[in-house]
Amino acid sequence: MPTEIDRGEVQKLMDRGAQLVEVLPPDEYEEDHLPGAISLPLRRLETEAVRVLDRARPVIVYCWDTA
Amino acid sequence: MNVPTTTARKCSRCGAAIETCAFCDEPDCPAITCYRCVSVIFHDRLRSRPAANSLLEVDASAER
Amino acid sequence: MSPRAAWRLESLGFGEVYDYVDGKLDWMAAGLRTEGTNAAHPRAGDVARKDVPVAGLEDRLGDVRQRVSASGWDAVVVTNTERVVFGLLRSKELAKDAELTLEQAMRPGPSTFRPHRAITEMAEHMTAHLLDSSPITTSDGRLVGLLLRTDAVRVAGEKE
Repeated sequence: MPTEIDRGEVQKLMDRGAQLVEVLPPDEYEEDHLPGAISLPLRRLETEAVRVLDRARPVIVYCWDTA
Repeated sequence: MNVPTTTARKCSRCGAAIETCAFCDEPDCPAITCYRCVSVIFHDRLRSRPAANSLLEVDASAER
Repeated sequence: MSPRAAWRLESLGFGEVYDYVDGKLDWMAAGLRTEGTNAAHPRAGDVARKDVPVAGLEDRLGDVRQRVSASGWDAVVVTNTERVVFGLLRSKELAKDAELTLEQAMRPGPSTFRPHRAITEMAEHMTAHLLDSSPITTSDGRLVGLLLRTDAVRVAGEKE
């Protein structure tokens, strides 16, 4: 089960080498994204996650908010 | 007979009865707006509009 | 969206998956840096005056008024020691009885705005509402600075 984290934990995990992934559409990513985040829209997760992400490293996903 | 001396104000966007403007805290603001409408204004503007030529993008961005 | 992505990644064999549930809005509302095309545009937190006078609830209005006036300001933000905003005094409040405490004289719970608001947006709304100044705070209520309408309008005009 994925672990829910807050922004403090995001920063700690990034220091540990986590991969940060924004799953919003690309145009939203282009406007603003967290430093170091890559764009992997939800609809392309199936086809690209395994190619783009390293399974051996932690992954943090985020979108806009909890709504 | 007492005559009410205050006039109920209405939100300039939705017409809801309010006492003061949620943006500037003033009761006599020329653009008096309720809290909900201020939230909607800013929240809508924060979110990018989905690409007009992509239904897939519309579906994806409509869900959070 | 992110919960579904997190679960899906687990099902694809990713062993350590985290979901930053509060997302990008939380990050930006905390005043943290972002990258992207919007990051280059001035925001409320960038333009807000960080040197706005601050004072505590128990401070005497007369003392604060003297200090504020000497520094050339006509506004003071009331905060606690954590810089959490409790109130605001502008000219009208600062003109009240000198013996009052700030708690008694202030406008409690003023409207505040987040640091990531586009300055063009703030300039537009502050002009429409004739709002001279507004505290800019993070999502946990801490003061970033006071945004002046004159600054917002000037910077928004420079951007165009």
